[in-house]
Amino acid sequence: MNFSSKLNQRITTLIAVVLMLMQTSCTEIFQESDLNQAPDQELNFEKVFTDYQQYRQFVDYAYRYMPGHLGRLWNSMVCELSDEAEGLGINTCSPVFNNGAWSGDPLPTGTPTGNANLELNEMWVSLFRGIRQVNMALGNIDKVTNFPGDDIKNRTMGELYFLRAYFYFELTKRWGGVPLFDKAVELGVDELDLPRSSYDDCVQFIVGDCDRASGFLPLVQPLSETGRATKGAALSLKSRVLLYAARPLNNPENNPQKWQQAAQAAWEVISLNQYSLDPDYVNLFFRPDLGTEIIMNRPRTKLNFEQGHTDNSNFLVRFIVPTGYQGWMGTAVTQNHVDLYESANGYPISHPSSGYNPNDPYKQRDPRLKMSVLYNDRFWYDRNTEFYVGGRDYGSSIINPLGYSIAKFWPEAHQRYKGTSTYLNYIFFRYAEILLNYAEATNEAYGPEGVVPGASKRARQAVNEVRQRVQHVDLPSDISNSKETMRERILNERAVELSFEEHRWYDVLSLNKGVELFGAANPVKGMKITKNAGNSFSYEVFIHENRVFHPHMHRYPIPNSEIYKSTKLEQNKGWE
Amino acid sequence: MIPIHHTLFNSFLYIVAGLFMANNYAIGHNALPTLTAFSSDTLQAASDRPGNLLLSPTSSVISSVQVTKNALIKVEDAFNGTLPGVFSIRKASPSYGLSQLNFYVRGKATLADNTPLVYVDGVLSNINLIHPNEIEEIAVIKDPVELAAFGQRSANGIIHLKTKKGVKARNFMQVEMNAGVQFPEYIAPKLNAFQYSVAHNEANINDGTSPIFDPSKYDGQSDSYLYPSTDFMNDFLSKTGQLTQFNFTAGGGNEVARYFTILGYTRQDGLFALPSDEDNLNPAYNERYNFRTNLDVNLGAGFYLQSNVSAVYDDRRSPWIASDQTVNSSANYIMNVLYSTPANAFPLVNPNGTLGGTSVYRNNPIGLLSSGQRTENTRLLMANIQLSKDLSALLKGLKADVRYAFENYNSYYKGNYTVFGVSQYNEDGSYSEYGANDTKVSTVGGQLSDYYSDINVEAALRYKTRIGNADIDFSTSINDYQSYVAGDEPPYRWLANSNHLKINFDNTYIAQLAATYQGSNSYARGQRYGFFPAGSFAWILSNSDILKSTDLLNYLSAKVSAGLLGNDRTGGERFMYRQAFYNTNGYSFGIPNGSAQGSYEGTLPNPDASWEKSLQYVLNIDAVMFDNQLTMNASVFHENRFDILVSQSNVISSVVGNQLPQLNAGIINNSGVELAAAYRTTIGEVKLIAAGHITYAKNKIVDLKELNYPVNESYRYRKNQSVDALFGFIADGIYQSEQEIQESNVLSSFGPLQPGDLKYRDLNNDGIINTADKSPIGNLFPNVMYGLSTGVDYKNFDFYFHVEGSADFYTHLIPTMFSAYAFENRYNTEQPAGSYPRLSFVSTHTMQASDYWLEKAHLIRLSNVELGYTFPERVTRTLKLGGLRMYVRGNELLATRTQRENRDIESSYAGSTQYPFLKTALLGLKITL
Repeated sequence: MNFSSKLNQRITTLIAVVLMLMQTSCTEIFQESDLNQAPDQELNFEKVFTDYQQYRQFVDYAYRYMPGHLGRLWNSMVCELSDEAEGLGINTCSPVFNNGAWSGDPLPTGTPTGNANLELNEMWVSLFRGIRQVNMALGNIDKVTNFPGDDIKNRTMGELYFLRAYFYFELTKRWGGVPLFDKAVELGVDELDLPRSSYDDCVQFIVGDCDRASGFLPLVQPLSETGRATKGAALSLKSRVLLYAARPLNNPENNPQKWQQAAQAAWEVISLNQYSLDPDYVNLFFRPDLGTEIIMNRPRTKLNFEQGHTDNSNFLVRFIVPTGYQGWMGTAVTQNHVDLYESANGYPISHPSSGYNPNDPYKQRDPRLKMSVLYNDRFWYDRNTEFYVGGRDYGSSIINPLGYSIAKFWPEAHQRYKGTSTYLNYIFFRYAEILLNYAEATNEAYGPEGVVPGASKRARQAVNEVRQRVQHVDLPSDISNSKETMRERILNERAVELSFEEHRWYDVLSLNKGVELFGAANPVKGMKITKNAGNSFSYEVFIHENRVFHPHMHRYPIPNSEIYKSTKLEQNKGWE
Repeated sequence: MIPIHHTLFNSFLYIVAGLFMANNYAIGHNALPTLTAFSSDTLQAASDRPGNLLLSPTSSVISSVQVTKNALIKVEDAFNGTLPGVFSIRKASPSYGLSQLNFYVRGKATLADNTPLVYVDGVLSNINLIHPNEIEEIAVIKDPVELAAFGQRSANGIIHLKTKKGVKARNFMQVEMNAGVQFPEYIAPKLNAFQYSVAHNEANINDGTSPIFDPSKYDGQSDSYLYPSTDFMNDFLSKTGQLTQFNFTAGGGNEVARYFTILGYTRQDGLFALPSDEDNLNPAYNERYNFRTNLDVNLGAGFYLQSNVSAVYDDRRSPWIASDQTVNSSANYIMNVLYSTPANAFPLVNPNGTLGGTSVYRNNPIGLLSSGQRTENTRLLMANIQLSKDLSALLKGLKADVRYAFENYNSYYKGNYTVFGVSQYNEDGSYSEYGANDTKVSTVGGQLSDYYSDINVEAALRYKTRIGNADIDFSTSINDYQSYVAGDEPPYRWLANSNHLKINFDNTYIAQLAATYQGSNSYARGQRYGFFPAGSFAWILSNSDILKSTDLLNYLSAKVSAGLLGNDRTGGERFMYRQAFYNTNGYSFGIPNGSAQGSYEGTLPNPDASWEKSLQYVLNIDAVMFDNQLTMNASVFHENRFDILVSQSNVISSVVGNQLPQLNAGIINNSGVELAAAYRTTIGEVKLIAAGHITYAKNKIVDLKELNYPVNESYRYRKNQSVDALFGFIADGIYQSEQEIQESNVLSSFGPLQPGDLKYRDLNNDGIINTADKSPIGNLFPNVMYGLSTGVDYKNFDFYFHVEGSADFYTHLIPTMFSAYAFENRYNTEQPAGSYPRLSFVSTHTMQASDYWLEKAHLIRLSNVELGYTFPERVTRTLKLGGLRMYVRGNELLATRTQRENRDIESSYAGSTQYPFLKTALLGLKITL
């Protein structure tokens, strides 16, 4: 009993102590600090914007928002949106552009056409992300205390201005005028519902950034920094921006001043005397360095066929390769595009002087046809191609080819299952484009034989320079002696020289020629090839598809979700 | 713990009692419904529950008998339509050996996690590792006054499982043996080689390409190596699997100490098999060992100690697939291979004895099932130790409790495997090899990343007194709950002070008040703590002067409750209040270039982020009538859930340039009715008891901060729809001709239209069929859920069945293009009236959600039927046994199914691309020593 009562006493004391302890912690419960347990952040605002190493990583990440991958629409390429190519097979999203079923509504995610969002609403979102990233970096650059030197700080400023200009250009080329931000907005502080700035204001903003960037940036970056923006890149961007701004979609009143500015801007790049055309057109896209022609590219490591869809891959090679070479044949070149390659004598194949023979269609053509396109019965890797009905490259169970595929982004020596790997450049700017920008703007401002004041190159010379590099003849003067005929030849030259490089679609949009070239007026054609006895072939052009293109499609629809939540943002005309 | 000498009939009474909200009337004890339900017993029961609140009589409880009758292997099976107000829904993708059910208490009220927390003896637990025989009762806590103690974690309801305790009775020992067979509920029919080649060719032609098969070769005459026809589902799945269960329980005690202990063993075999001439199968199976000892010791001098300790060892196995495939996903992976590999894909074994396969189909099931074994071992340790002290010496009626509950869950895996290759036998007799056989045995292993550990520490003071004619109960507690979750630092932590006051006036009016102050570490300083008040008022009319209890109406009460509750499982980032920056792969420069680091700003912060708040109101009416033969309960409930996290991206433009934080701004209402009734009677030697319940719950979205859709697209709003409303197209049949397509004048954003495609309505008249044309077409979550149990005793025989059902919802099922359904019903020129759209590899137009694929659903499932025989006492006495019963039981034997393809209504992939659900037939023997 005594023991029991002692035990009783002890346990009572124990409980009392525990309760007291609990009660103490009870009072602590009501102190916030007890729950102040969130882990330290590995990275936060202070860390990013104090130390140069962290800041550098933040700045460099902004480059990732540059659309810099030919396979960026997953199983479709941008060339399939235009008359250059046709997306085939499963999981392609280009049909939705081709049949006119795109709109401001997001495409169904989880279906093949859903990847079109990557060019539409997701591109809109991604580019504004890039702009914010740049604006944050610019706005906080002075917080960074340990730049290795003023030159690096200046270079960084130049890169940031260049990137912002690039993002805004990518926005304007798709949507026209967009809201302009020169700083990163804060929730709850800044006005977030903004109207669109006019296209011209955007151009002015971009040109301002390009000018600032070119002031800060070096002419060349060291080899270890290849891929960073340079003065030439900033000026090339300015050239492209002003050219687009002068074209009919954005310059409906055809203000000649805009063409003059564009011509001047192209000349600024040329007159740097930094660039020249690469004599090897074919390997331009596979070389590891910039060479003399590439002004800016996205550097990549060497990759094999199997390396996935990611941003850093050349998956698309597997994708463009015909089935006979173990590829998926997802992108077929159209007859429409092949027809743009002139005869070897420089005349378009429709011209009476061309000497074009429809029964032997690939003979005596612009040398770039063979460099860029795989057509029937030419040697490739280890055999002649077989695009004829029943041939090895004709297609698989799900694919019905047009008789051609892309050679340009596929080194001949690089074959699937052979253990090979290759570089594949995504080129942002190359000198040939600048020459063609110059030719186009100069022709519009001063005529085919005109020059920019103070310059030493006529429009015609610039075009011929591009042709001479591939040993093609100069433009026959009888088909290029007026501003109008020259305009037509320059557009053709761009289509051929810059084929599949994400130019044609945007060029035609800004030239306001979509209805003519991407609509029912220009149905997609293919070549049906029949193998005859005795190893000869019959060629028959067939209509593969009638496409839909309405005038309002020259500008993209702003994502409807953006329109629906704003009181100020206006949709592009025709997409409402 | 059910006293074992109870007759079976009494057991049934237990079951019936469980069907009631007002279970405390304790028909199971054959007692009259008295107010003891509100007094001391309840107090004791409440102290076993987490949060330490006094139990009000508005929870649904089922007892051990019903748990073990319905749950053979997994405790969750005991929830199948047995608990009023609990919706148990099979998961869309079945998990072999793991939880296959989701529970919802009284429907849904948020877009985030709607499920209740499930506690076992005070800690959140994986209930499916516990032996069903360990469970004393399962309680569903629904009353705001009880829920308030759980604060931020309370709004979805709470399910609490209590394990068995010893009883003051002579020591008993009991052995239970169950042996059964399990059958797949459903195995999807597959096309044979001929049918597959016909369908494949047809799809090719529809896509404008050339057919690739010659169906006439699949006539049984041609070379079976070049033109194979394999019945994968038949060859690699057994018709039955074995189920073995054994458990030994013992218990007993006296005034000083009582104990309950269990040893359990369970083994469930998987269905995978190899054709008879192969004998090196790596089987799928699941073995589990359970051990528990619960002790109650009266230490004397007012001290009372409870100690519940349990350990589980679980061994799950499957054939090896890959290191990132768990046992569960491996089973589904294999099932998918069996279903999705065409019958003519390859011969199982080539003429040269190698395994068949092609570049596309490399998964030869012989290789898959025989080249490696994955083993997963799980250990679960739980302890719940509670010390109580009667402090009447200090103050009469005062008691104190301290409790420490702990749980630790750990899984380890190991795999032994060899790599196998397959070869394609070509027409010219050559072989193309895909992968090579590797005889080297690889061994891998490690800890699985689902580790967790919970600790719940609690101290409480309870005080009970009587002032005038009012009984007053007051309790206050402090509680510290910590959850360690793998890969998520620091542990989640909640600190709470809960208070509860009950005033009972003369057993006629009962008022209760609860107030909890609780904080968690997931929110910003200043936002961490919340106040959760609740109150109720009950009026027992049958005790009042107005309405005295009679034999006709034995009992009648009405009760209203209301409370402010919370739900912090809102999804989204955990520390939403802080701005994070992240390192990731950057952009590489230089030649050659390697990987580079980059960094970016994470989602913008929401410093005011908080939990969801929920205002809940309940009206309960309980009645007992006809000399205690009929018991009824009715509840009406309404919930207003607000501060639901919604995306600001519908409000603020993306031009801001970053992901926008979620905002506590959504509102959803949920309301409904719950009814339960039980009736018992005796007619001659037949005793009958029947009990049923039905719940209707319907939720409605009030505000989610949606986009401002244009007037002609107002059907796109989720507002006014229910949480599970499916948005899809409205289909007007199938396009029969080009002309019909032309006339409809629409384009499809899914690709060019052809005859045989579904004809969707262009709701906004923009000429394009796209996401903007989707409108709410049907609610996928049942609004109605019910259950019915009936027991009959005749002499020594007993019979019992349980039916569950759900209604007022839709299922959406699109049979794949190579399904038997598609083959029978496909549209083509010969069968233009076919109800399945044209076959195509390219077009996804018809594969979208649309009302074409919607079926009105009504699920009725016979989840349990049992016939038992109890040996008469003279027999057991001769055998020197305390009792002996034999029974046969069938679980999940019958259910309504979908109209198309005959699939499971809740889980349509089961038995096709995913592991099937199983029916069970069982013979059991229970011996009491």
